[in-house]
Amino acid sequence: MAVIAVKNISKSFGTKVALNDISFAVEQGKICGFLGPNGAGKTTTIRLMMDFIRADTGSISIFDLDSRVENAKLKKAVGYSSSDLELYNDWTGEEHLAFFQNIKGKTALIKDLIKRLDLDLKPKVCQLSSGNKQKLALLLAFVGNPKLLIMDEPTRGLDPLLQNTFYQILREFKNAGGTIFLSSHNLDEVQKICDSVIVIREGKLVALESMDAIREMGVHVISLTTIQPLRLTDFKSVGVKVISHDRNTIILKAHGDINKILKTINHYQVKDIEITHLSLEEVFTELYRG
Amino acid sequence: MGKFLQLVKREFKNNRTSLIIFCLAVLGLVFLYVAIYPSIQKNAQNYDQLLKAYPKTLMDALGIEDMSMNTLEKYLGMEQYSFMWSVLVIIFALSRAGRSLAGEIEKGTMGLWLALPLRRVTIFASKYLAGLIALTIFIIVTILGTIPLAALLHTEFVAKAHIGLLWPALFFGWAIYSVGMLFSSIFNDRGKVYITAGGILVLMYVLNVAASLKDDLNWLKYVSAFHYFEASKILVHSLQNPTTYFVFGITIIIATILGVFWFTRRDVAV
Repeated sequence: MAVIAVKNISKSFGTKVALNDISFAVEQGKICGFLGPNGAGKTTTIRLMMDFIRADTGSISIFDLDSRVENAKLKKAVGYSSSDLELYNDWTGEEHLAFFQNIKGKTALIKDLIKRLDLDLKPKVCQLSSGNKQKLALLLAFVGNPKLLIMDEPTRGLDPLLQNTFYQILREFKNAGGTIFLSSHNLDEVQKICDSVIVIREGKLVALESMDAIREMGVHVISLTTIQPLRLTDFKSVGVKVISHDRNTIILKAHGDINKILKTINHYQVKDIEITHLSLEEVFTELYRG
Repeated sequence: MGKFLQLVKREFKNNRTSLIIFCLAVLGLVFLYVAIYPSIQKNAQNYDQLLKAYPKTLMDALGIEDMSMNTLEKYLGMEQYSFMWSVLVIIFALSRAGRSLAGEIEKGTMGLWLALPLRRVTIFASKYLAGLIALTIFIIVTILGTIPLAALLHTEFVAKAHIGLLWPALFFGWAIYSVGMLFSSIFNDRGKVYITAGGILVLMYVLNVAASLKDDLNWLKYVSAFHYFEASKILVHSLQNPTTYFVFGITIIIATILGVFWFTRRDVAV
């Protein structure tokens, strides 16, 4: 069952197109990573889901409810957190928590989370470090027993130990049947906790894959040195990307099936050849760059 | 309803310090006026002579109806209510309105409200109501505060005149506040709210003054809010003008509806 269904969403700010006909779905009980370079449209997508801003075209449904029309209703089951979420400087953590609990209801889980996140709710927000503010913002997302967490770079500002604690909390949330949609720049984080990833670039969807598919995404880098001179046209005709070349050496990047390129290479007398795979990080970088 | 009242309470609590400071500051000012009134009353005849020497158009421009200082109400009508009180109410109403929506968007704290299962109209209404309650308290305290202060200083006063000023003053303040809330719904920062609403009010004040200077410009007064709230006249003569309630009532309704309409449809990029 799709918890989030984004259909043909477009959004422009003046003449700048922020999102261009984006569609994707997030299944229940999964952690979906949302990746893309700065300005790709990640935060815009999240703001649209939360109905902070309105799409020019398309629709978003969450728990089968239209995110625009029934936003207040669906937010009862949604926890939201953003690294940019501003808190009231003159309120304490307790006041923030009480404000949320008054509207969304109390959660038994909160006490445990406060302990695990090592969060002191007594001081005013203006006295908290940026990391502690971030912890408080994360805590607020769990108020009211949400079934879906929408998080925009949730671990920015957290130290590595707390990041791991937070990943564990997210895993437990998922194991209890919850769904998480999480934007991030941290590829290590995505690899660690996500079941699937969506990559956007310049407002367009460029990949929507499970993590396993991403890992298996065969991108080969082939370094070839031949005895006779190389003809560039031989390689371009088999659809590989030429990274660099000179008279007898060429470096190629090949996606998927490499049999065609091996057949081409077979026409040459090979002096040296090396075939390597891109790391997961390099795959993401590839997707980022296009 | 319980959750809505919690929101109103929270919003009111958020801004109560500024309400207390404003009330105390204006009460301090009223106290000074009332405290020095006995010495002015002793020399009222001299002051009245002096005032008669002032050009009538200037007095009309300042909304001073009866050029005399022989009662506390006439004196306050000139000193407190001809200009100063209106300015203070405008500042208070616009600062409340500016902070409640545009200020929250500017600071980014609107994100907290939007993250909660609340309809936009509920957010608008709770903030609107909290500000209106604060404004009402401010107006009641600063107008009716004169009565205990005058009694404390053994100065004669007409309580009915001050009470009679309350309703027109509330409608005046409420209309300014509603226009402020409309601009607060539109803009992303407080500065724009203050400049736009403040600019319109300054223009209205100028038009009202201009209307009193030349007969052929007399019609300009009808586009000025200050024409419909002449505190001195109300205080001195206890004159209640139904047009005041009608014009401000219409302004309140239109500005509030437009404010809700805009806020529920706009993008809030926080």
